[in-house]
Amino acid sequence: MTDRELKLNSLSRYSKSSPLFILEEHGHCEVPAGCGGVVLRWRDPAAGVPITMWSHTGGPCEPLLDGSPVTSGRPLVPYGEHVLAFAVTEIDPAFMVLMFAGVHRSSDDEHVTTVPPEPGGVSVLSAADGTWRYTLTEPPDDAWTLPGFEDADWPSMDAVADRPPVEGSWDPVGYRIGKMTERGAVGLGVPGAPGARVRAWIRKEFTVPRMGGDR
Amino acid sequence: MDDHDDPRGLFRRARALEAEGDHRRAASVYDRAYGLDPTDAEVAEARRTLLDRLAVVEHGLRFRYVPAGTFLMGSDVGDPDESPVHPVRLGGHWMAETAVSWSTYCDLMGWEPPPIGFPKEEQGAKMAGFHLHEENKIRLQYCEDATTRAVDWHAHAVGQKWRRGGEEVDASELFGTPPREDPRRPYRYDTKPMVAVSWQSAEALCERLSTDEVRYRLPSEAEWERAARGGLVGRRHPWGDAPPTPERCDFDRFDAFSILPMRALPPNGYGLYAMTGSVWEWTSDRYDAQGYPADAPPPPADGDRVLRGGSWADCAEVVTVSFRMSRASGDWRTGRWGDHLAPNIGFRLCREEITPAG
Repeated sequence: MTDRELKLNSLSRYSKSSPLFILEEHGHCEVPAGCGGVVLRWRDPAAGVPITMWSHTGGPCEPLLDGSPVTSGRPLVPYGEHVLAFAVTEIDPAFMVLMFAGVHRSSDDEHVTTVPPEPGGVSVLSAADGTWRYTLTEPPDDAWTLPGFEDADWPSMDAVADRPPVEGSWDPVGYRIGKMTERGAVGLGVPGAPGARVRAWIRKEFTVPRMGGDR
Repeated sequence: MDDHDDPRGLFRRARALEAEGDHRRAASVYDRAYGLDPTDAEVAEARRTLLDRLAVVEHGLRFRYVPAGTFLMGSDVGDPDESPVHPVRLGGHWMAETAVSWSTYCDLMGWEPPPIGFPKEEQGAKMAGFHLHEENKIRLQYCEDATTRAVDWHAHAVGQKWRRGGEEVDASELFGTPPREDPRRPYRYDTKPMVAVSWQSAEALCERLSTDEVRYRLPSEAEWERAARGGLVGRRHPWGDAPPTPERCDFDRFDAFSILPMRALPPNGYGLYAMTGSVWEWTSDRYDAQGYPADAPPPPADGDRVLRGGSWADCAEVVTVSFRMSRASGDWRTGRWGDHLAPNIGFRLCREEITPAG
């Protein structure tokens, strides 16, 4: 453990820690602070949980969270019921259509130091578990992107292998898929003839539980 | 109601003092009247006019006068280290209207201007060049003026050479191009606050500028908080108790990874811009989590220094006039990798007259 980590994890009288708020230190490339720098962020744990999200879709898609575009790789998601929605176009059913990993677990995020550490965590991982549902028929309105939509008659997605990796050069898609696989996400697909170009509407309901009780 | 509690009585006294030419005492009395009734337009206007008159422009910086007086420091509803609320008596002093910009820092230190931002002669320790290079890399990105959203920091590292398969490739090929309102004006070194500032780098500028007559220094916590309150009494924010909004404060934009220009939002009652939000500002004081007990022993010499004000990345509950943060104050001058390497740490100068004029 480095001196800095030791210090961050101690409740020193002469170094700030808060019983009300959480201090995050973000030190990685997607959080631009230069090499070795950190972005400091105080957040209110009562406001929700910052879920770090990775996704890959088999065609163009703008992911939605509760009906709104996900504009951040680490959106602050309030406690309660939510829906992830993906309208994916130009899908080749021979390969993976969707892989998704949304995780918040302060104890094992190598890029974010959280003071004080938060107990527990939240994971939303793509899986062939019957909770990731799709339709190939365009919904009549946007209700499907919101909590409370009845999707019991939508089929469940099945596990589908990834497309072959690109040989000979750095493959950002393969890198992203590898990162999600490490976190336990599974590639999902829809039925159809290989080589066809189809559209699919995919939704996943999940709950963000209140972590660690009231602070 | 005696004269001390009567805003109109104080107003009459202030006007008399102003007419006698005792402008600093008049400012203090106007300030007390304003604190009792900030809605009195006549008091507010007379106070503002006199404070404008007492402003000083030196080294290209405008310093706003913060009148002598007693104010209530701290908060009983925030973190425990903000309490207890207690009266603090301060003399008159001047606070810079804004945080220090990168171009101002380089100019006043006699360094090469941004984006070089290095001493013209070797002034640093052995590793100064490397550390300063890293600081400047962060500063450059956060001086981007028209960037609407940052991406992977590599895309912002202008001048960095990238190679793929033995051939040089443009950064945009590898990391994309940050979206910009106007690609013709990507940088603005004089309107954004300098970031990634170590406490000692801030002190170095203070030392360089100070003379026998005028001392420039970091504000104490009390001076910073009094200035941030802008003359309002017992409020949470420089503008009052209303919650922060994008029209009042540069805060809660963690996902944007950018800073608004320092004068983009309205100033507070002392004419000071961005006292909360924007960047954390160093103070001269060391941090003590026990708050403000009267009999506390002084913090150890290697304790953290206090930062105030919150930043563009922080939540609404933190950008108050009383929230306190701390950070270690080492830097490249001591050969140590700094805890200050953050694009939301900057500083503001406080001005003190050693021999008052007149």
